[in-house]
Amino acid sequence: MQNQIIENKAIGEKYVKARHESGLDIYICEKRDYASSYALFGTRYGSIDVCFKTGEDADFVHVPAGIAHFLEHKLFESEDGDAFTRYAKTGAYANAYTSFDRTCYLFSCSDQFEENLGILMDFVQSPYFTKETVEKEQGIIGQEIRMYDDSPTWRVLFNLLGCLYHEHSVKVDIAGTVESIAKIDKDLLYRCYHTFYNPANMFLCVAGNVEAARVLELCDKWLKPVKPVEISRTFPKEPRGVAQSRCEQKLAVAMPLFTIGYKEACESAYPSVKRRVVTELALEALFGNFSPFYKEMFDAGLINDQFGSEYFFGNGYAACIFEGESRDPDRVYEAMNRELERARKNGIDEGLLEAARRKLYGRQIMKFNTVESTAGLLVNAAFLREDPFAGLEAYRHVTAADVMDHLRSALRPEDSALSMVLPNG
Amino acid sequence: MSESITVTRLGDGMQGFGIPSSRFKTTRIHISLFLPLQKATAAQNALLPFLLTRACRRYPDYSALNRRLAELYGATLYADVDKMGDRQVLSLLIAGLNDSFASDGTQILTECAALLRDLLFDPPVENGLFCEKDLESEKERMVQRIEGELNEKRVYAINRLTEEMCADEPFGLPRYGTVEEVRALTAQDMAGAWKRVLREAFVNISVTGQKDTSGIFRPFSEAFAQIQRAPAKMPALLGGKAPKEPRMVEETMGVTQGKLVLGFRTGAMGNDRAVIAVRMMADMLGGGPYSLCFENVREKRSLCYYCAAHFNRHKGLLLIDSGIEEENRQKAYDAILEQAESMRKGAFSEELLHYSKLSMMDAAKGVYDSPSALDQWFTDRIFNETVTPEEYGRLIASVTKDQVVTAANALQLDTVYFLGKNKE
Repeated sequence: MQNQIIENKAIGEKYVKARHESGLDIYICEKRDYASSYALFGTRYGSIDVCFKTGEDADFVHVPAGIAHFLEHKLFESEDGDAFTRYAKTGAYANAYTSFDRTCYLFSCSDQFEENLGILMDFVQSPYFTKETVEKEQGIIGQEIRMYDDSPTWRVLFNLLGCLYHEHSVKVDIAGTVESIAKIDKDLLYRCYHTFYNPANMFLCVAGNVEAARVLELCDKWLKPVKPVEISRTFPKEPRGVAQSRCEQKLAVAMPLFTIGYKEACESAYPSVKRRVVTELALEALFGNFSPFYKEMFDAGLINDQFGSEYFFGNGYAACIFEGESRDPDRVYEAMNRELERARKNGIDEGLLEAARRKLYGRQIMKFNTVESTAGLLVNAAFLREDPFAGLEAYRHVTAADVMDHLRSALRPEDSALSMVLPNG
Repeated sequence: MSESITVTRLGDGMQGFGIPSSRFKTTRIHISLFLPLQKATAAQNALLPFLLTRACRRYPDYSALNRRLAELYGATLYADVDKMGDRQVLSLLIAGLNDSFASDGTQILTECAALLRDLLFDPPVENGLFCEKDLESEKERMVQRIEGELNEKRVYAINRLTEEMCADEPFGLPRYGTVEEVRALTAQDMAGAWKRVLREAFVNISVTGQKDTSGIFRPFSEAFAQIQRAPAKMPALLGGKAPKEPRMVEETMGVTQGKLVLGFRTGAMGNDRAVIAVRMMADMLGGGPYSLCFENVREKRSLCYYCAAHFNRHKGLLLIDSGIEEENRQKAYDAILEQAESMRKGAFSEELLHYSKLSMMDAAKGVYDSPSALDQWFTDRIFNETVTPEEYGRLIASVTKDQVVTAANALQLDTVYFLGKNKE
């Protein structure tokens, strides 16, 4: 197995990066003075991957929304019992999550790491679905979907994605809908499983009290031999511009919640590290909690400390998304566009940029504090086959000119939308 | 495994807790101010940590303060208020990177400690009063915080159950006070609250991540030494009593999923030794995926996505909550009580007890791996015997099936809360 050790002396961390013969990407960060360990076994398969084919298929297949998430629930069951029962015998905490572009199975433990890793690798590689178990899960996931229907923060985000995107599957709820999951059967689950749960499309990330060499040895032992699968994903052509510029929904909330999104054109599947860092610094310097914009809005009582931003991106989509609570979201939106206009004209304050740089740099180092957040960093890097330290280095080198250059093509009012959840009382 | 914890007396009703660790990139300074929870002062006390962490004389507005925190390599500042049984806890917390990461030689830790001291002792008051504009803005944010609790229905339902169940006890008071109480607060009230809290609170300062804590405690002990301290007597822990017949409370709202919460009294509170069997019983009933509620209410009957038990050791309450279809309300209620009944009768496997022990022991060992978990572990035990995670592990191992059954038999259903859909 090819592997390398990558070290960052400034922050005193290093990790091992390996590629298994099966194509599995493995990232390990040893923290031998910690008591616990955290491991994630993931696939580059999420809610957006609804149209795909393998090298052996003649045509693309289009599947109902919500299968990636459904599979996440179902993989915990095997023919001889479920994974939770196996973990119960070791005392590990186990869970899984599905996002737009990935599904991850994880555990954390202080004891019996090897047994737990064995369980993780085994159940993820052993699908077992029957008509009965699929039907049972429809009830449980139905309640999960209902729970999200009542979550204003969730709704206000998905309504925004519905505004920003005409075609891209990122606009569909991760769990699908009660109707779409009713169409899921065991054959569809097997088909998606055998496409996306191939080691060449997967990654394993471990942080904590482990020995990297031993983890690699165990991977060799436990990875089942399978033929590599070549996956082609396709997304409908996403036009420039937004589908809708605003959306309102009424729910049981006290004050309006809003999200504001600025859609970007995607020349490549994923934005580069530099583009991501420039974007984050721009958002922090212009709209962070020490910015003049924030002060103006905060003093006017138009935002509170719930206000925040993120660079939201994945295969074929990228947007800057702001969220918050306000009695008048329209005024926040207008002020934001004014502020962007002003920055394009007058430039960006070097002092604010430096404060943003220090803040984001420091916060990135803090993520190495726990095994969980370290493993999270590894997953983000492994997903894109990048270096988890790349962002740290990039923060140092971004200049005001980079940010100004970025503002010429990104964060344009004509590519933006406002989504609001308003009180239904 | 643990580097030794130190407790230093810093003054009258005031202590410093040193939690050394060389694992972390950060040091965390956490000031907890403990007060009796009382209706008359709950709202003003609750507003105080938020008002104080907004500005100080050196950084006189929110923006300048946040700029300073950013320049200190993204130091985090956090205020909170919580209930610890019938006591109120105000928290002010700062966490910053260790000095070695500052490329320009900034002494981050010293600066963080000084900043936190300034926020607590040197707010931008004029003629002894907080600035009217800041106060109004913080009051408004507090009102939004209170009203915002409606947004997450699961949390809202649990809060409502607690208010109803403990309506006659301080613990039933809402965490932030009521909207009316907050709106009525004046600059005089808040100046009075600030002085009273500095005088009367029991103070704990925890420093997590540094061996040498004396330099961090000093600015605080010196500032407190200027104050005529008169620490208030902390109320004893009281578990309350369940009514003969459980109270049923039902509310409706524009929601799609119903929320069911069952509130029990356990009679067990305080020291780990006194609550360990109840805690394990709660875990077996509705903790991990091996628990009875997960297995039977979720997996076997597909009634819900979550059905979980929560034990509050400072008040001795055990709550079980679930999100369900409204038409399954009775089914879910019966199913949950059935699981509690199984615990009472001891109708559970030895394996379940074993699983619960393994899971709780594993989690306790992990406490040393996170600054927040470590800080919370010891802060949570300020008024109890200081049990380390290792000692706790041994306690867990010692629990017997009989103790769990006894704990389950002490359960008394007090109040049932249901949040349903608006009727057409």
